[in-house]
Amino acid sequence: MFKLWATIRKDALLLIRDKVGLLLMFAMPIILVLVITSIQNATFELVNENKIPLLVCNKDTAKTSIEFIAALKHIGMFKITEVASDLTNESLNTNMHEHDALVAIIIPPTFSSSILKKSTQVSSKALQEFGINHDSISSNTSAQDSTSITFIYNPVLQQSFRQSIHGALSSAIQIIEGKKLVQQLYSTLNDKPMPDNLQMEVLQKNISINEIPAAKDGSKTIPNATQHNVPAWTIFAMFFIVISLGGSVVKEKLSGSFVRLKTLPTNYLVALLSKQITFLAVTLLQVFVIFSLGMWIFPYIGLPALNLPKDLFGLLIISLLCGWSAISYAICIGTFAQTQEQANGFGAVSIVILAAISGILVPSFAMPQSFAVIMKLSPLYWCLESYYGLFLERGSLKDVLATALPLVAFIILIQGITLIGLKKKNLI
Amino acid sequence: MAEIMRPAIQISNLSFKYHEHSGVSFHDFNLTIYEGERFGLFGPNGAGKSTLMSLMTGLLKAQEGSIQLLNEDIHAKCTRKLFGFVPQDFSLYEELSPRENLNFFGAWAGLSQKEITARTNELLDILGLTTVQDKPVATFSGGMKRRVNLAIGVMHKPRILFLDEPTVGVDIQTRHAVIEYLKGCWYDAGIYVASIRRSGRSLQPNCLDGSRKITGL
Repeated sequence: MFKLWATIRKDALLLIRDKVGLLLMFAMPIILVLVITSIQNATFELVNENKIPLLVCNKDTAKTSIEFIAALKHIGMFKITEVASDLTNESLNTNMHEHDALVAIIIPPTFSSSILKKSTQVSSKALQEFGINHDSISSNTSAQDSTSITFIYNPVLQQSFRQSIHGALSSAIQIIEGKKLVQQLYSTLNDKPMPDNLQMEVLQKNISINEIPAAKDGSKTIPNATQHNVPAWTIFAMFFIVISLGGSVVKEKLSGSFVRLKTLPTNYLVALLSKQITFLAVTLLQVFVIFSLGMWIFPYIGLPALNLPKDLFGLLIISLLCGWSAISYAICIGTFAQTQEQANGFGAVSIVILAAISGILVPSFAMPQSFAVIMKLSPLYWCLESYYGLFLERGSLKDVLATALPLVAFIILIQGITLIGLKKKNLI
Repeated sequence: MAEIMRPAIQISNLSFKYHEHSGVSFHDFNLTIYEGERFGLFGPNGAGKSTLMSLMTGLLKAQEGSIQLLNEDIHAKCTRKLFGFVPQDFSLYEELSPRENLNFFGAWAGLSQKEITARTNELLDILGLTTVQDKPVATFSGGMKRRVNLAIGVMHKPRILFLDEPTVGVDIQTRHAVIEYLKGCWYDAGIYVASIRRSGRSLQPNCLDGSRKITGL
């Protein structure tokens, strides 16, 4: 025990005196969490809270296009600015930059007539189906005029964001088309325009959508950029310890001190155990520092505060497992690497790749189907799933056991590989 | 002397080569070094001095034959307590101070905290390191580092001491301090094995004077 304690003391002293290593382990992750959360928070706010600036160039003079613009306003997603109707695509582009608008639409001159024509055709067809003959039935009902709204967007917009705007525009068009169809049917059957109150009653949405986060504790805390990013980048920081720890194992292996250690009556496993304990403390400190930053500093810089899970014991266990996985991986890299450059280079690149496939860099749901199996090979995936189970789904340790157990398996496997490597290299 | 003393190191029918296709380093090599004996290994670069030293300290494993230290097999765990090793390269943590290095290596050598404290104070004093005991070794000159290197090797008062070119690249003052210390602990520790190049004759006229030598391995 005394040997272990002396080794932990030595490792801690070496760690404290490695200023660059400390910077990598603490300052870099803090900067990373701050920057990524700020950027994502701005995007979240843009989508969820702010209105998207939309330029509308209405080349149609009829009433239906005005109703369409009103429907767009009613959706509440856009901050609409109407521009001159004689603008070309190029001049509209310039206008977008001037108005800081990310999207613009051009309503064609035939917009109203096209919608009216379609509603007339559809209503006539419907009446014919009911057995009501009507003069207005077109001889060729299938030949509908097709017209398009031109949608111009800033190339920086991500596809998912464009799709949500596209969906909103389609929804507004359907509202107008539906409205015109009902009006047409009513006026055809009653030979008079549809009363406004009835029109409103018909078109009014009866079913609303309630958004509730699927939290396991029943709470309704809305996930935000902080809840997503702080746990994710904390895992990344923990695994980035490979630079310091992996390098330290190689350095010790290559240095003369290792030769002397091999001649002393103590097993090298004591050194490895000491490194695991020392660096596990470092990873827990990283968790404490980054989570504290999220809880207490983020609100002061305009970011949402981090809400800790209710099961703090679960959080501690998951953090320990994440840290231990990271340490096991780093020691394994250090054992097999021949030089510090190898350990640092391979370690850093492999962590970025493992982070990418785990859903830290890109959400897992946005990844191709073929990655569904590959992502499960990354320990960072299981760390992330466990943390999300606690932070976003507000679960307890029991709820995340299924995602935590693969981490235990990973630790056992990687430690086993390390021991085989040490044995093969005659290091133990 | 040999008649009244037990063998301290006994090498019997030793054969060793680094790998299958390399030339034979040692073939059927025999050597006995007795307790209290000072022994020097001399030879040019590549002669096999350090290889023999690595075999005698258990860092390398021979393909054939055996090496016994005080009647214990070199690869037995208990044998490691019997000898001290001072490698040619600085085998220490340069970020740590001499005291911190001695604390750590003392623990690994199996000493208690009390023994470590007493022995550290003693060695720092003997080797003239007391004034720099809390400074990082990285800030030391080559000679000072070699003193710390030596102190670590003798920390646990080994019965057999292996020294691999202990005075190479050091100034006269340090060489003198190292030699004086080695001469002083001669009777306590027992045996030195020193590997010295032809040009490095620093130990020969002093602590190895009159000792048995193998030249040109």
